[in-house]
Amino acid sequence: MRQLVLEIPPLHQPSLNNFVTGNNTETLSLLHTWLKGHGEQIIYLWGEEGIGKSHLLMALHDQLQASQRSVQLIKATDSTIIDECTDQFLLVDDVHNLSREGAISLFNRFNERREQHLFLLVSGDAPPHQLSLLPDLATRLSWGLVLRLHALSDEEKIEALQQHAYNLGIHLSHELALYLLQRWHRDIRSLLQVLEELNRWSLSLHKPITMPLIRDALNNLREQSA
Amino acid sequence: MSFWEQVKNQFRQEIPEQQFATWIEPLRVEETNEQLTIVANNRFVLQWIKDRFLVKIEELAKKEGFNEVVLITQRLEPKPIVRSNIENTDVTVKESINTPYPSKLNPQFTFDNFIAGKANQLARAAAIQVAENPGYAYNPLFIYGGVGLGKTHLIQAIGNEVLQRNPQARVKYVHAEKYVSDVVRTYQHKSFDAFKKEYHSLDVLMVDDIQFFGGKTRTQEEFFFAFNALVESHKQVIIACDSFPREIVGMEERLISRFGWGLTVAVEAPELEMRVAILINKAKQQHIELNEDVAFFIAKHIRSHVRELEGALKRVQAYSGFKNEPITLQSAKEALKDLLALKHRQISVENIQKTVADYYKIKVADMFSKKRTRSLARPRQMAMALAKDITSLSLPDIGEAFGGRDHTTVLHACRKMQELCTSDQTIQRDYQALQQILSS
Repeated sequence: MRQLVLEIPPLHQPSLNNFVTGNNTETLSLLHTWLKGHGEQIIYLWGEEGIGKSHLLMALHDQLQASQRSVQLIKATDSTIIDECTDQFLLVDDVHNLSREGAISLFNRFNERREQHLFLLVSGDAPPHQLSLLPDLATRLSWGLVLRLHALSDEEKIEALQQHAYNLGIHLSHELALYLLQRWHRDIRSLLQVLEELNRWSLSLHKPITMPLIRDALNNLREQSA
Repeated sequence: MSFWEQVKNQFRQEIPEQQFATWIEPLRVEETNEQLTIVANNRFVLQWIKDRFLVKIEELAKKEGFNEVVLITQRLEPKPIVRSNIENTDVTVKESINTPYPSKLNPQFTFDNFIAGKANQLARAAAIQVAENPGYAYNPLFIYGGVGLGKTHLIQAIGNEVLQRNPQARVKYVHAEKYVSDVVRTYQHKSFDAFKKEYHSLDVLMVDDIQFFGGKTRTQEEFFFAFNALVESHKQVIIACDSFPREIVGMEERLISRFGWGLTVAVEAPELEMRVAILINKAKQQHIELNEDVAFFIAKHIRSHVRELEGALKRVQAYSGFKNEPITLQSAKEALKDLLALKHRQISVENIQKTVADYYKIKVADMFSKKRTRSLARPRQMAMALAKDITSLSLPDIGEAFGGRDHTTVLHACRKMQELCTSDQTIQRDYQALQQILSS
């Protein structure tokens, strides 16, 4: 059996068009309004790990850039310090990763942006009052428009898998998509990533994606990550 | 359609709604044959218009055939302070009074739109006295209270009032973080003279969130000198902080004792009626139709701080905007359902006790009993540790909820669970599973 390369490459270029909306129509609509510089200037977007927050932030960033707006996207880690930023739009992903110093830097940016009527979108894995962050920052995040990104239902995840397979030029039956959903991480990011890996796997073996092929590939991935 | 209506339409399309409502909508305009006179409510608005929108207005006015755009504040005898002559490109903007000191104040924070209630009446009264008599009433004025309760609004309202009474006053609002970075920059550039000159020559200095000075000795030293210089010459110092002076971690004794020289007042969390008033007032400011029953609904469920209250109002408004329906009790419930569900779950220790008891198949009553057998004590400790993680209750409150136990028992339970989670895989799995059940 050939070994799968575990290094799963990033997904296709994220865009608002290829984001599977599910139960998030309102959130998407409000984000579209924000993109145009209308409505609330500060948004906090929260939702569990792997449901598409980073996808959305990257898509918003690209869209803003395409429409000639000055924009900066920062993916927060425990060593991130957010420096002064004069761009009209600032997006900060994964705020829950920030250290105290990082949180203070975002706190300062928040105050500046609010004063100067500049736009800010922050994402995190919990609602503001449940974030283990500097309280001064957490309460400020609850001050703007707080939007929750909901996870997709199983049926929506299956549709998303099938749609993504179609974009890759392969046919994925409902049965196979369900099989994948029941045997792999259930968040949509992991599912789409593994589908792309399966595609590469099937191409290199010159075999179609079938249940045995999925089973072997998943076993392989599990062994490598163990 | 008048020329000004056309200008407004243009701005409506180009700038965010909120900016439009704040800056452009309230302007009054007089159009004569060749002159367009714009009247702003106060000098803050005037400065804002001048900095951001005047060029655009001039451009449109020129196309319409106006020779001059005059920007004035609303006074009994209007005195032009910014005048532009469109024909003469060499002199486009002319100032006729001294440029005011850059106070960094937000003009929207005033006493008029500060909602008073039991929670803040003393602080508000003291703030008004200080604004009427800076440097003499209470010096320093030290306002403390939890995050998001309106301290910043109150201290900035003092600054705005002082400036209203004396536009030439040197008033400076600075967030503690900014002050710290100013001190660092001063040390880097060795520009002590300029720093001292600026801070020691103020009429009113406001430092927000002074708890950020904690442990920063150089900053505290510089502030100590500034404080002394100002207070000794009867210049006003106003401080906002998240805690009582003695409770600030890492603050020098000499500063703490000085903070007590004037008046120390608390701002507390607003009560229900005050929260309703805050919502109705905020809605009015933003031209949102908000019934009292909806305001009561939001205020009853959001109790923590004013910021979250305002955030909830924005959420309700955004939802009704999306649905293109007026705000009703039903739509407010729908808009806030995620937040409220989480809050309800968050405050329920009873829910945690029941969930843990079900999980370990013991009686809920065993959560409160004095029995110490391991089969009962472990689940009880698990529930206590979960209560500390998931709820915002204090250790004594948790102890109380578990049959009136001491807070040290809760602390011991939390430490024990922490220890077991690293050494015992079963306990770790149980803990994670229970966390998931409770938060799903």
